[in-house]
Amino acid sequence: MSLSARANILSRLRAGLGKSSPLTKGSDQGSVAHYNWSESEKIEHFIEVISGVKGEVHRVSESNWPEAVQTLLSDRGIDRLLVSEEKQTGKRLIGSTLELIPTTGFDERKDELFFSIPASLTTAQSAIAETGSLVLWPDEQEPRSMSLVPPVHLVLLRAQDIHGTLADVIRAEGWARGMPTNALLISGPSKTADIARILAYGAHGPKELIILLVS
Amino acid sequence: MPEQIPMQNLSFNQRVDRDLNNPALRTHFREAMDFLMDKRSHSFTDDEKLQSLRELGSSIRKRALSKLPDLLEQLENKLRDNGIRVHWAESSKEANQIVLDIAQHHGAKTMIKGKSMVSEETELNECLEQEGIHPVEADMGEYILQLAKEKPSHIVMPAIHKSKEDIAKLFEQNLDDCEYTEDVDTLIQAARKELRKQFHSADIGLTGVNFMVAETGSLVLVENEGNGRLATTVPKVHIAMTGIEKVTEYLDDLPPLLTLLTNSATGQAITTYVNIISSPRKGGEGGPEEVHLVLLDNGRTIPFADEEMRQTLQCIRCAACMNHCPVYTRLGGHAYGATYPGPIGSILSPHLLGLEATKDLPSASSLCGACSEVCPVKIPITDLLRRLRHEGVRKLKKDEEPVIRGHGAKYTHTEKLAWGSWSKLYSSPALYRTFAFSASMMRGLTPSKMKGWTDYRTTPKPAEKSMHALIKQHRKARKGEPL
Repeated sequence: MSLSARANILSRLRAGLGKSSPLTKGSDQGSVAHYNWSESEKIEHFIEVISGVKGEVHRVSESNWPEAVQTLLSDRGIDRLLVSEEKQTGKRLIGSTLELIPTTGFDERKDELFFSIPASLTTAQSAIAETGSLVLWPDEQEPRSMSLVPPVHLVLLRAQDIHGTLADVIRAEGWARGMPTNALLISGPSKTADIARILAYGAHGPKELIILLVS
Repeated sequence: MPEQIPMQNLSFNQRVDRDLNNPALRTHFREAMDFLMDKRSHSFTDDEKLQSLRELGSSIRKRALSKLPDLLEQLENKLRDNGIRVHWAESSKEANQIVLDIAQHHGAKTMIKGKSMVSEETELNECLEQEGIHPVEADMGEYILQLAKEKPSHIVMPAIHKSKEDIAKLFEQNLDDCEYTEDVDTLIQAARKELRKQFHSADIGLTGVNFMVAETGSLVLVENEGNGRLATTVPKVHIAMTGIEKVTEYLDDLPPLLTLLTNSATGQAITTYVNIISSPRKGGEGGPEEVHLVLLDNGRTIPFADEEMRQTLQCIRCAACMNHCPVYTRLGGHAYGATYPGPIGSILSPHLLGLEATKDLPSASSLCGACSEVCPVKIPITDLLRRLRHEGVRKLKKDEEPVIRGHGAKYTHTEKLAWGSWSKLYSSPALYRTFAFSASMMRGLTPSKMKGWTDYRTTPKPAEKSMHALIKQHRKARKGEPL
């Protein structure tokens, strides 16, 4: 069935096009907005936009961010954290008062992930100033459910990794050459307005998104 | 809100009557549409930039459609290289069968669903249930509708017709340990808790797709809640379902379309999540072991074959046209009786379902043009509505192939005769004057009730003297006076 469906659909489409010639990118009209932001303007804009959708941004330094993580979590009464033991995030937290839950063999621990992990810390690959978005490319150390299932998601972002727009990130990081299994843009905690247009946070994903902006 | 009679049992006019006479529903839609229009206008503050972006969005979509078969093949090759399996379906039935086969192959009992209007179009849930597979809608709006056994009334906010009170009652009746409350946070947390259990145990995740990128073989999903991310991350198998038109050529085409989509739909610069999937899991990074894509035609190749109607397929499903439509705002979505309501539905549904079943939809518009004005990809919706009206009443020329199923569905001899006489009358001065004179003479015979007209208006009684007669009289009286 599916082989003939494929052939039928494609042949109907080809017949539909007739002799018309395909359009090329060169003939595109219109344009996107351009920004001439300085480095500090990008940072300011990113903070402003993501704060507007309830992303919590804390400016920290390379030396004090582990301390900030501990304080932020203890303020929330959280003493356990899901974090990669291989990445710098996990390594720098060794010796803290937090119980660190490693990400190895994560797949075997779906019950734990779903029902007992209170918070996670991942790194962000980059970020977008225009839309206040974090860019995450999940990998073996930081699997994709880490930024999705725990109710509190902390993200470590370096200020120099903030780009102007998504188009800038795609170009700068060469996305078109090869995409990862899953690339994510995250702009704020999970939310919904499906009940009477009233905004509620923590629909299915994290209820809180905390960004540690390192500069 | 009064009991909703299944829409398939009512005619279009009956549905319109039912919903227009529901003041609560009308207030609800008025407020909701005002809210959404306001959100959009606050996010597009610079009109010059907006127009330039719409121009680009339209170009990108037109370019993709101008090479659609090639792009679909490129996409298929890329996806296959990436490890994603591609299936093609000519009809809803075929698409549902493909999903069912995959589910049965895995011995699946439950399917957790992210929002997918295409699965609404194919009525997948009904098909799965018949085969003993339990689908659970996870988008909050869709979840509410599944509990209420209703259909979406809006393509972006499916449960927009339900009040907080309706939902509070539904949750009280259907969810464990959920007491009646109108506190939205509490309601959402109750649904979250229930759906988390479903996500944890579901065998298969099924979602729609917002964009497909041929260049990289990627599926792009846009959402705020995280249901799409969970459905594409937690279960072992992910099935994505979408229409063949949703492909773009380059990854660079994605940013402008995303900006247009989210700002037009809900006035957001971007949604909480943009989820770009390019392969099944590789090792320990998580995600499903199998990813399938079902590409659906279901009548889309029909408008594709006509250069003007092909523009219908530029649509990126933002719903701005319905949010700005005075007819949709008054009727709500259910009166249209199709999966896609509002202006886009009125130009798309006739192709998916045939004009016979949808003949009233192209006329369900005042042609005010608000839809075309806000469309982010510049679909000339009003031109297409007029074209469909024409196709609905036009007789085919000798040897002419119909461009749409159900062509001429609205053709009636009476209407043809009426317009034929009208045209003769109005193009012959002698005939026209005779007609006007006799109408004035016989004005006493005007019936006091004229079906349809006198329900809301007074009887259109001809004047004692026609305009022509009055002018003649006036000229006669002023004869001799200088002009």
